[in-house]
Amino acid sequence: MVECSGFCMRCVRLEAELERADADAFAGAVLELWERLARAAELGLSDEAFRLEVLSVIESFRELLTTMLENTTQDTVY
Amino acid sequence: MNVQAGTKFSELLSDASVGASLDYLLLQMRYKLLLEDYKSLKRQYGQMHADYYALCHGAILGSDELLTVARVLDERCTTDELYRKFVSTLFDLLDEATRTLDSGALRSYVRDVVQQFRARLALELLQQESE
Repeated sequence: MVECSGFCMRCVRLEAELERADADAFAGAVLELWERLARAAELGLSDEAFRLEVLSVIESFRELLTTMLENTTQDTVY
Repeated sequence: MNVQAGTKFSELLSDASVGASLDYLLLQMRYKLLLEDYKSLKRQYGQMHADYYALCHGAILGSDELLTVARVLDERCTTDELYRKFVSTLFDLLDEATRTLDSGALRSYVRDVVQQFRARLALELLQQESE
């Protein structure tokens, strides 16, 4: 049996599909974070609670970005 | 809009007909500054650094025109990479805002950023529908 080099049409297509799914998931998650920010700005939170919520959203984004970048490097199909 | 050479900026502001074009004028000024910075950074640190700077500033300013310039400058990026850089920059700025602004200003800033992001998203959805 000949091993695939990772550049056959099937592998290339699979990799593209995985990248697309990751990018869509990332965009969706970012959108949710923006909605959290919007809600925080509209709710009558105290100054301290508001600041903490903003910091929490920023932290969530950084975790999301790290996960996304890790997945991008691991998704390569061979 | 015709602005005569030597017109004072304060005179420009007091002219009602110019008021509507003020945003456009500011945009032009920012655009020129951006390009000057870009050339200077490219000389000092190389193209990648200059491209990234242009990309971030184009995105932050929320102007379609500047964003287009940024996209052209950073044409090696895929759309997904560009999007990641764009939102990363916004969150970096937000982080800076939490450290530097008082509570009232921070609330205004968050509202403004969220509004800009929604506007940009709406524009992209419209573009996708028309394609």
